[in-house]
Amino acid sequence: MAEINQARSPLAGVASSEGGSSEAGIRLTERPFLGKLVLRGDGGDGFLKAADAALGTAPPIEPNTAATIEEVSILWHSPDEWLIVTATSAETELANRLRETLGSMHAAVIDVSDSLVALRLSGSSTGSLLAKGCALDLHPRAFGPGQCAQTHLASALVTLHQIDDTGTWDIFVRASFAPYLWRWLEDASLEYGLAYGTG
Amino acid sequence: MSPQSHRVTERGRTDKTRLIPFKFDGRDYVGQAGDTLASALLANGVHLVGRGFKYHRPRGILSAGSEEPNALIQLGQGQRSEPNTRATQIELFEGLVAESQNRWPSLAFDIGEANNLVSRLLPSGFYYKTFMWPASWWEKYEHMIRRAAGLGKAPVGRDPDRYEKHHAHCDVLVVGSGPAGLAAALAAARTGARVILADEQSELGGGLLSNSEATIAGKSTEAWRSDTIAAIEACEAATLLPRTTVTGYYDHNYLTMVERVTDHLANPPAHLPRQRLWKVRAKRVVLATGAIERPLVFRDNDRPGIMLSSAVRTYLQRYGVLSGRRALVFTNNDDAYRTALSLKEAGGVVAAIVDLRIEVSGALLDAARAKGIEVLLGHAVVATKGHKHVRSVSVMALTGAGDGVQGLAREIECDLIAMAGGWNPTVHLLSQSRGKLSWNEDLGAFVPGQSFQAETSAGSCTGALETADCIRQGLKAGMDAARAAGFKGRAPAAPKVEEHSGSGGMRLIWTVPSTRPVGRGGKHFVDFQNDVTAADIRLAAREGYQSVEHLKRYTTTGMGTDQGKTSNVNALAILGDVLSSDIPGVGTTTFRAPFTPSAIGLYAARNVGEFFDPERRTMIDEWHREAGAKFEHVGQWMRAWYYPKPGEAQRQAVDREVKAARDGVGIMDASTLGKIDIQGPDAAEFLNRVYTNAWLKLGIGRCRYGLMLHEDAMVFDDGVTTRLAENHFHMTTTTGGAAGVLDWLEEWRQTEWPEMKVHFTSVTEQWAVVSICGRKSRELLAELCDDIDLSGEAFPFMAMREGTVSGLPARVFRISFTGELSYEINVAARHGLALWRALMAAGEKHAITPYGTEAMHVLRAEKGFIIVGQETDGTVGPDDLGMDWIVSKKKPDFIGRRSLARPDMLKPDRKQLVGLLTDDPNEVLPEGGQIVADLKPAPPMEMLGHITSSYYSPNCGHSIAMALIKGGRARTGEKLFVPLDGKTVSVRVVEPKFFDPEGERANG
Repeated sequence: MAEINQARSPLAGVASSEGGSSEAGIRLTERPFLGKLVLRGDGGDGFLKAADAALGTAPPIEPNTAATIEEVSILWHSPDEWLIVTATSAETELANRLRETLGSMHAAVIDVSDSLVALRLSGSSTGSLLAKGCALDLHPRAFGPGQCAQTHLASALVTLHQIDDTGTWDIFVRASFAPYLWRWLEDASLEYGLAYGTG
Repeated sequence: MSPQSHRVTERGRTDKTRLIPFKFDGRDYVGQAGDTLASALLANGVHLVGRGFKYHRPRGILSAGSEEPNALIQLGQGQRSEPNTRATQIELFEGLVAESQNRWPSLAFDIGEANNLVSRLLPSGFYYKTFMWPASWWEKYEHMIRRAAGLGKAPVGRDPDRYEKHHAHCDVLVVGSGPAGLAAALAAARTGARVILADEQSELGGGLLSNSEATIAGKSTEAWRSDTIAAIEACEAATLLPRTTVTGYYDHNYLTMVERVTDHLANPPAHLPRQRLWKVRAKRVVLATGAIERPLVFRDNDRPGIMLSSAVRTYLQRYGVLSGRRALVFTNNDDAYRTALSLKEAGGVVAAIVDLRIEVSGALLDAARAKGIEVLLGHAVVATKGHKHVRSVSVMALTGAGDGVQGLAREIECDLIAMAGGWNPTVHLLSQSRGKLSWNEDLGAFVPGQSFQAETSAGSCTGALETADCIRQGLKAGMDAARAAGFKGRAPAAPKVEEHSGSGGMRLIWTVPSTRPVGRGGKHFVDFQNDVTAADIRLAAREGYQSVEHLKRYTTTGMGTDQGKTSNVNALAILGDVLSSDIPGVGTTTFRAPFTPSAIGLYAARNVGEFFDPERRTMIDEWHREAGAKFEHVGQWMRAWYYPKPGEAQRQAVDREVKAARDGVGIMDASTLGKIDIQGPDAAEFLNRVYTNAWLKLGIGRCRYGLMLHEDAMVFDDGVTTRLAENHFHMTTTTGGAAGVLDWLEEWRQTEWPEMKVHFTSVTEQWAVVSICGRKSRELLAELCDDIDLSGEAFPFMAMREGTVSGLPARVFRISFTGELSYEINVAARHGLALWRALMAAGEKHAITPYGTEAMHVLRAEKGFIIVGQETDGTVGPDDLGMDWIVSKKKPDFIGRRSLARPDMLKPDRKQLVGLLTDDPNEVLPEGGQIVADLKPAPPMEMLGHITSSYYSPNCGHSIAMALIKGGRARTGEKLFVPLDGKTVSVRVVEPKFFDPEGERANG
């Protein structure tokens, strides 16, 4: 919905930020313009230490886990790739800080703030909702807060990040798939009731 | 007949106080809550529900479950109408409307029944024998056959219902909720394992729902059933799913289930799906799928009123329905005695028990005799009478060998025959899972042999006949499964079960003899749904169709919607009789998913309409739409194709756009181009290996066009890559190839060159790209950009500069796909629309013209630039395209280099890209048109190649085309022909450069 300083979200004209059912099992929220960086590096001690110096915490090396410190989350994507999510407009400064601490080592920091759209899902029925489009086992015994995964949700590639144990999830999706995924989530929520939130 | 004339008030689980009105074949009836359509019809004395497939003989309800071959119903109306639903599985709801099938004009009077009179002319393989000749008539035959033989009718419009899919994972999936399934689920769930218990019926309990005679752990079966269900439900990780059929069992314990969510509701809430397709990954599977009773194959065994014995019992005990007032029980085993006793206890008359066996003993026999039921041992039913309902039977004594009958026939009146031919364990899912079956001679049935997946069978699907055995097996299977999935615990103790038992023996007479040879004067039906008789199987075997797979296809036995659930073993056994082979020697056909038919809509689920495939749109899309652009699909992207002004046809719009993009200024949304960020000390070397040309010396801020080949030296992708810094490149790819190129780069880095230090990251969507093109594009850009020196000297062709455009941080690439002075302006995607609007506003005085992909195609074709995927198709190398200039002769290696030297790549008659000009400048050739040199009046002619691109070029003032032609370059100047429908166009071969051949304009 958002449009600030000529900036426009891929969900402009698609996403709502208010309304919906009062007894909703699903709350769907766009989190527009969050800063997002891809961090590439060899995952070795030197790299982790340098990244830690800029981020305040080391990128997680346990597969499919996320580290969160204040407004920054670092999501494991692969042994040499992390997705960093930070506050709106904080990405440039964070990228510069990372480039500085990483120095000349073989690493890369790429701004993908506009490449990806962040959505937040919350409510009592998010598990069932995700099960409609995601083949991963997201049962509490198999997946928990602080875990993340790159997977398919319906026909979109996404990164899922479980935020807490009450059914709150962040979803990161390619910008051009965001309207599709938003509409898919709305439609899939029909049997649970849907409300919209603001990011 | 009076309403619910056959209801027994003190029996059954239906709600006597809730009457449910429904319609069958236009007539109003009343049933009770808890009825199926079949039980409600039987309660009203209705047996006749359909007509046979081939002979159109009257058919009644045979079974009480998913095996039903006869009672196939057209359910519902309009777009919701569904054919071939089994009346035995349709839960009654208020206002239900059902129609019988395969009859005309009516069920009671069906003209097709004439087939029965000429049935000697309709043997097995009838279609193959009759409709083979002449071949050209097949379409007519097919039409006729479909009309005559069709079952229900599929609705023609779109399915109005909603379907969902649901992924699930569990430790133990229990299929079936009879005594074994409930016991297995209880044992597994109590360990804390994640258990799913699925059952196709509306209530959990399976056979317990129709077994009121036994006691379990001192309780009634009903009390044990409900207590056990409650105990499973109390386990936090258990999921109980009634109305859920496990339809398929695939590799790695992946199973599909169909949950019927609202089918049983008169007014389904709009927010719920009609059905849900579950996709389950189970660590362990317990199959407790029960057993299906086998019909006996005797003469005219298909009349309405002839039912499976267990079904008769189910209708009585579960639904409180007496399927007949005067029953005759015909059996080869003990179980039918239970039916006889139940009927008697409920006030029915049992005319006799006709038992094929000679020696019988046990509590069941004693109980029957004690009730005064006449038992005829060593006897058989040799004939039945009654057209639309069975009226009487003829019974005779069997010969000692059981292959004939003797003595006097005795006529016994009855309106119901309960037949019991033994039990076939429901091994369908086991077989689907590739588990092996083994033949059990005592049971006369296939039982589970060897498991192939992490699965166990328990209960009557293993051949167990007694409830106690089923529960014991279930407890063990559930416990073992939970342990195998990593849980600990002890199984509950097996409860004591009390029920009547018999002697256990069977007498297997697969074709019950009568007074006449099989196939004469009456029919011994084996497959009721496909109207296959014992005579048909014998005939097929005599004609050489002795392999079971051939037999199935020739006779159609085991086909259709029931997939031979009641007929397969009988058919195999009869084949075995003819071949004098045992049944394992005959073999079985494969059991295939789904277990019962399921709606196609379920598999599409919500992947329809806007969710069929994602449509990707750029950040500038809204403007294109408002401008009335026409769009085209490029992969999943929707790209603006052209922008017609009011009244403009496509050609006019494209011509206008193409002219403006050279003479004035055109603007295009190029955001969909693939973009890959490449960083690392080995980045330049990596590019050197994946592109055909040289990359090491590319200057910072400079761009270069590159061609990528696969290992086979065929062109795979192309694009412009720019050096942003010493170790940092920005690669562009084709729109459709972006994901494939990234995969390609990663594959080579990870598998072939892991030592190379380079990272690839997709940034396709980080950037919005606006291309401006034409003589006035520099002037336009200058108005919005004051921090980049745009002069030709400072910012030459194939260079990149960073600055701001309209105040937005931008990378400006001076590159061109049109051969015109052109800039590609990249801004953060969020600013794409703002940039576009700013350029449109500033360009107004230059009559700035948005152009779409069609104009872009024309513009590049004027220059002879290729499009990968249009001029190439995976068989085209760089030299074929006349692009040898981009292939380095100096580099030690690059992907595809070795294959370039293959002899085939050097042949002079390879297809080569050339230009074609038509004699008539306005003639635009169709793309794909074939090109010939030696024109003949009609095909075949030698085809030299085809047209890859063809347009009208307003800048040239004539049409232009490119083509791939054998030895094409050597044919320059030749006249060739393009034969089309109704005319032939002659063309001249030219070099594929139609406009500005020296390439001066891009450098201007």
